[in-house]
Amino acid sequence: MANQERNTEATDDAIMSSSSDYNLYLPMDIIFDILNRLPVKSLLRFRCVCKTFRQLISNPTFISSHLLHHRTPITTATIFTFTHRTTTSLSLLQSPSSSQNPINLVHPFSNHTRNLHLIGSINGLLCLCLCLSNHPLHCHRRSLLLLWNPATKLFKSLPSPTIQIPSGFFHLSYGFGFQFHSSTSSSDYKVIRIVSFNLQTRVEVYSGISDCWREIQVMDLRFYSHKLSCEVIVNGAPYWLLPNPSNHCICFTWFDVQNEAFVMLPGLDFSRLYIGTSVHWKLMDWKDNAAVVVCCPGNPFFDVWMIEDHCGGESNWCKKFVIGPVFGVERFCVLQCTKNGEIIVADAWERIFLYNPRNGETKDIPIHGVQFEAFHYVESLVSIEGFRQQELNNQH
Amino acid sequence: MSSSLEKNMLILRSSDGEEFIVPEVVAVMSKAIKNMVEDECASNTIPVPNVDANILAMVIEFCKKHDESEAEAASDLKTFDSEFVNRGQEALYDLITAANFRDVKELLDALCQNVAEMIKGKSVHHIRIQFLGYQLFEILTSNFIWNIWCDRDFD
Repeated sequence: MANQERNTEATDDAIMSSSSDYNLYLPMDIIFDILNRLPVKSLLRFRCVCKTFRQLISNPTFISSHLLHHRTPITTATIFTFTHRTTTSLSLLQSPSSSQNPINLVHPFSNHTRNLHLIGSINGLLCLCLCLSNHPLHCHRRSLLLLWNPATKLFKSLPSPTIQIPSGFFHLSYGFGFQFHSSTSSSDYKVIRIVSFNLQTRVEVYSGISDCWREIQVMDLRFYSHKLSCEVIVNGAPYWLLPNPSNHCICFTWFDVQNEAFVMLPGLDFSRLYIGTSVHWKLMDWKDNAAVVVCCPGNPFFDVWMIEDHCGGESNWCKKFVIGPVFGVERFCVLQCTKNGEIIVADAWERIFLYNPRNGETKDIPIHGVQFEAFHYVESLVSIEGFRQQELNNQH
Repeated sequence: MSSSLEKNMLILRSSDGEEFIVPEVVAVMSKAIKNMVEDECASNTIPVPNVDANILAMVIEFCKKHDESEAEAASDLKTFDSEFVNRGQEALYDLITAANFRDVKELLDALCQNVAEMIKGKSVHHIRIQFLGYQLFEILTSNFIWNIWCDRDFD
């Protein structure tokens, strides 16, 4: 039966190629509109319907229009990274509010699971960092960076970075950024690599268009992140935490992808605000704004701080919302705010829950592991020059 | 000259000559008709070529519902939309052509969404038949029958 189906398709192909000017039954803009509404999985299959479909589905205008149509609060999914025993896994939760179970994602180098880090997720592209050496001390000296689209199963290994890590003590951090050139209506994806050693910080940027690393000059940036990845990516710009040993103030910087420069944010001083309590805070993407979410153990409410611009051109942090009470989750901390306004929280035993602030309900998310992180993800057809197909023999 | 009642009503004439009296607010949901009315190139009767009475009646029904239910719950309208567009393939294509040609955005949206839902899980073969028209389908099937016939003759 399957053979027969294949045979008819083969005949169709012959007819397609012999008569290139067949008529589509519907006008082209309607076909565009209909295909625009389809999920990536269907579009990948429909590429072999005919030449017109194939051209349309790989057209950059169609790809960005498709992304725009699907980047809605309801269709934005969440990717979790977590560690179970020594294995780091990626899990995709299509829609947190539905009762669907998370899907395990098989990345292109799935035999390297020990030291896998998800640097960021932008427009359906994931930036992964894999450590090739099993020795913990040499872990970050030999690592592989990947850009990967899990929906189209295409990926690319980035060329080796140029800044060598010296022997001795060092800090290393990566960021992932996106930039849209409105003049040429083209987009570029960039990976930022920050190496700090001997009170010196060097930064290099990989650009998807030029396909190479280039060192940029940074003035006076004291940087020693304890995390391999940036804290959060908001509107395509990665954010990092900056050390400030003098007081209890926390400082942030974000990378302006277009101008390739770091921009400082005002410091947020916790010591005066939360006197006598230990606080757990996290920088996150709160509906396309950078926000600091502060939880205090034992307090069922949490605070959301955002940068507010004042009329004098000055900007400062201010407490925007107090959300809660979150009941039934002991000593919780907030992991992420989903695009449709639900909150992903983890309790003291690293169990994951979904809290809906509209009705106060909490729901268990069935993923088990430790060291959870949550990223926004939207399925897309976005690709980068040099992408190649991922081998799928590891998938069940 | 014209009374207020007439002023608020328009007559649409389908390709097969049937006339429909519809309120102007409903008729102007079609951008094409709206432009005609605004440019004052529309007389009392507006011809709607390429759209037959059957399809025109459907389009008017859709526009009326959307005009009335402006204040109604969005979910009700959504249910109406999904029921409205749930038709046979031929009527669906005629409706799409009419909505596209007359530029009725809401209807076109609902129809495209419906087609997308319909074809989401379909095979490549199905899509070829649906999108590449009956023409190609006929060529394929007639070739197929012809081949069988030939085989029989020479055997």
